[in-house]
Amino acid sequence: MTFTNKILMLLICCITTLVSCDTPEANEINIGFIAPLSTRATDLGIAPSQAMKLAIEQYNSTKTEDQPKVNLFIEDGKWEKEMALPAYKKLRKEHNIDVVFISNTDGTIAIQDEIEKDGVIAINPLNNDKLLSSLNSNTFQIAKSTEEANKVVGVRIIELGLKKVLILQYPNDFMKIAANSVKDILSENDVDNKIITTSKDQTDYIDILKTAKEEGTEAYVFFGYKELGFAMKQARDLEIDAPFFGSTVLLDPDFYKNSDGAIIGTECTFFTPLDGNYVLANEFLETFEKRYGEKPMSLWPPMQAYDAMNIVLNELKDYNQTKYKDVTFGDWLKGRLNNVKYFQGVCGNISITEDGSSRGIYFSLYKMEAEGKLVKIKR
Amino acid sequence: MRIQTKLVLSFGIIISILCVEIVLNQIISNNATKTYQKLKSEALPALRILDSYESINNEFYLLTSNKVYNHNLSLNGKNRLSGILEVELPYLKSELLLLANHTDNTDDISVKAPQIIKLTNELIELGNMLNDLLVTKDDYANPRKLEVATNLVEVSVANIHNVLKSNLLELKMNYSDKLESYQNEFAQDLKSLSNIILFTGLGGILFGIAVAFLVIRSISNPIRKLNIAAIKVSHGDFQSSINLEGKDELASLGDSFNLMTSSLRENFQLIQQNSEEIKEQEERFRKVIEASPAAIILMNQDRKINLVNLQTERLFKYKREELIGLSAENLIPERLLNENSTTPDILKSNEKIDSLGIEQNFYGLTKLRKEIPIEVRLNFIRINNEDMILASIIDITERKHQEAEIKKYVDMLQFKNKELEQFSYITSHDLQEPLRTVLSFIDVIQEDYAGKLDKDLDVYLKYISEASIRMSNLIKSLLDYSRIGYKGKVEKIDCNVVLESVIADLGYKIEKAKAVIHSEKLPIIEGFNLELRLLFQNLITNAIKFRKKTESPEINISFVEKKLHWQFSISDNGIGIGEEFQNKIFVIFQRLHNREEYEGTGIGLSHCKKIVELHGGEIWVTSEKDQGSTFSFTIPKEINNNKDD
Repeated sequence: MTFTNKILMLLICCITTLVSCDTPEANEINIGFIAPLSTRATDLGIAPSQAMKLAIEQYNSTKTEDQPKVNLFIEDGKWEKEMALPAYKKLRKEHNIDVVFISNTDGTIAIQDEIEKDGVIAINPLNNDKLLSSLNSNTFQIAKSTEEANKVVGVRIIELGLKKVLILQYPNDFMKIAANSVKDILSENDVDNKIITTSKDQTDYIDILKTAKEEGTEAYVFFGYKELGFAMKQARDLEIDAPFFGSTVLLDPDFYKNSDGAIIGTECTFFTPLDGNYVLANEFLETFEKRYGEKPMSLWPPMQAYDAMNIVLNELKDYNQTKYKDVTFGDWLKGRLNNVKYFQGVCGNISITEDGSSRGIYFSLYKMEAEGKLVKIKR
Repeated sequence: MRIQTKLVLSFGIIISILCVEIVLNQIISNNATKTYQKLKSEALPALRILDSYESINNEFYLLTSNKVYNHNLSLNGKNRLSGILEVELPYLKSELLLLANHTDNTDDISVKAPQIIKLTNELIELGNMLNDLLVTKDDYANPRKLEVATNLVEVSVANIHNVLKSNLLELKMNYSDKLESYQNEFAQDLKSLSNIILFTGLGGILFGIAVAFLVIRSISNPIRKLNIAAIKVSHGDFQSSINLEGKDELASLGDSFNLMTSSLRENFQLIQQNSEEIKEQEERFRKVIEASPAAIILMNQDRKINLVNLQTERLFKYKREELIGLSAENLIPERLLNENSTTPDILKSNEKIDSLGIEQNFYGLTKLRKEIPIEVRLNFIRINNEDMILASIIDITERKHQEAEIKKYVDMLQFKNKELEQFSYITSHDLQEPLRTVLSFIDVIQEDYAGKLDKDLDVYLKYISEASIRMSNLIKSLLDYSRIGYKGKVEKIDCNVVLESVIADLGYKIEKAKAVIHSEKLPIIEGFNLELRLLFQNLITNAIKFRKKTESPEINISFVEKKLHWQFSISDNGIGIGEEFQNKIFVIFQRLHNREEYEGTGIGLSHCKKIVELHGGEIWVTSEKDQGSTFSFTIPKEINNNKDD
């Protein structure tokens, strides 16, 4: 072999080695969102999906060439635990998603095994509780703390000096956690309380309410969805004038409709721009309105979803520069999310802890003054 | 020094100054960049974190104090406290740690970071304790809880807050000093940079101005001198010269300028001489034109007349001033200018020489609208870069009259000749008949009355018979003469074949006279076959007949090809012809010897002459007495076969 040929061979070897060392660049990353677009709690699905779309559009339009494009695919989970896994599988099969957003706590639990097996990262952009934090390390919750948010209701009941409380709870994990957090604080402060778990599609609560009235219940907590609107109406029909308390989902239009206005005056925990980064939140809402023609009815779900998606996008934009050959996408993103110590979002300054839960979003106490209108309670 | 060298040297120095400036700029820029990097990556982030830290520390202390002393603390305040505990302080800790890891171990922030982080952790722990202690109004109503909480804030939190604050303040002051130091250093670098740019720039500019001034002066002064000299030259002062010192290009240009003015001076003198000569020539030309017997017109391409002479005025009856500027077409009848006429084309063509009216009738038109026959010769000449036409016009009225007269006489002569030929033919033909009758009766008388007549009558009859025969021969010869070319036609003739045929026919005579005939290969020509044969036969016969008695005849036949004709020569060694007789021999019936000495009618050479003229050629003889003769004749290469002419 001549000297020239040797040099040429050496050069080819070097180039081959260099090329083989390089990991393929990700041009597109697919994200799925299992959201309640129909049936129940649609305020937790429609507006958040729009907010996520907005975040992705903003990202794709400003990204550089070496940053991956992000696509969002949405499936209707109907706020049912049973719908979560099929929806997830469909998204995986049809779009090969690497990240799934899911707002239903039960659904999040339902897809745990699959996401771990697939190496997919699951993010709950609405709920953040101890149960979710105990799930596998692929699961993250970028949202308010369910326990803390609902604990506020319990503190409020104690402040108001109400001594007997009935908690009607929809049969799912989220409402159960919410009810228990209230129950815990009430019990700690010697307030008599009782949790009654309702049926899924229950519309007749008269017996429960009559009993409670007879027992001298001084406060009624409605931790559930639109079906509990009937309960509110029935309570007022039974001439129960005790104060009502609710969860974070009171602004569902069907809730108001079912209550026939009895929902007015109900206090609940909620989140508006006043509770987060006011400037960024208003900017987001204005952009949202420009994009979709109207502001969301319930503000906190799209705000949290927007922040959750932006935290993920903020990491994804560095993917091609920071990925390693032997690290899977899921492990890479997991590592990156666990290191988010300070993200200035519309909901405030957010950090993610080692167990995958987030800190920095704090709900306040609001009161429903009219249909679709909540005002902050000053105390 | 040459200008090029000056410029190269000057730009070289300026470029060197710029290079020095670039190098210095690079060194100082690097220093400035390093300072800026320190400022950006150390001082500013540290101060930013310390500011945030200090701010959060203060806010935390206020919020905790407020929480203890105000049982109606808003939920916002509580949430903010939670935010500080859960997000802000952990974040600041991590940032501080990161910064400490990126700085030297001896750096203030590296030294103090562990203590600050420890204090922060303690604060977070105290905050959480406080949050757990005071949740509801009942907690505030609990004196024990409130006392614990108050102690926590007033003692523990306040203490840690103050220690943390003093640590942060100390670090802030250090980093503020560092920042100021970096800023001063950076500003100093920028100032140095600015000074270098300023001084080198100023130096460069001043040097450039000086160089430019010197170079411009060294260029502009000579150019000014050159300009002044050039203006003088342009005003006709060819005596002016300049003296430029130095050895540069402009000095060389000055020398060239002096050479140029010298050359111009000589050329100008030459031009003046030429100009005078031209004027003289023009004058001569005018005189020649005026003196010309022909009318002369000089016109331009548009046929506008520029110049005429006196003859033109006389010929066309115009005054000179009327003719100048007039179109020459006004001097030509309109019928000659129409579309079918060639006149306009000839006038428009750029042929150097052309003519009008030389071979055809052409007319001029006078001012009185009278047509006069003229002959025009056109010369196309170039005067002062303009194509001009010089027309020389001759009035041929008189010549036309003379030509008409001559033609009339020629026609008459031709007619008479025809009549004469016809007469000869008829006469000679008709005269044969009575002669033959006379001869027949003489034969009858001599046969029938042989011996019956007296001797004198026999002698008389013999004389009559001989005279009649001679007369018959004469008439026959005359008839032959008149018949020459009568029925012939022009055809291709091989002269060699003709000569062979003639030699064969004359075989007896040639043999008897022991004649020798030499001939070169003769050409093929156009002509009348029988007549040419007769021509060769007559000339060869004559050469044999008029031989010397003392020697055998020798005949040479040759030819020369000329441009328009063939010239044949037949020479012999015969008795020759005296010079005085040479002009008589072609006359019909002209004899130089008596019949007894040389028989014949004396018409042979007349035949030859007529045959040659029939072909349009000439015949002549070159001879001396006793020295032989050479008969030469020419036959044109193209025969005009019009026997009527």
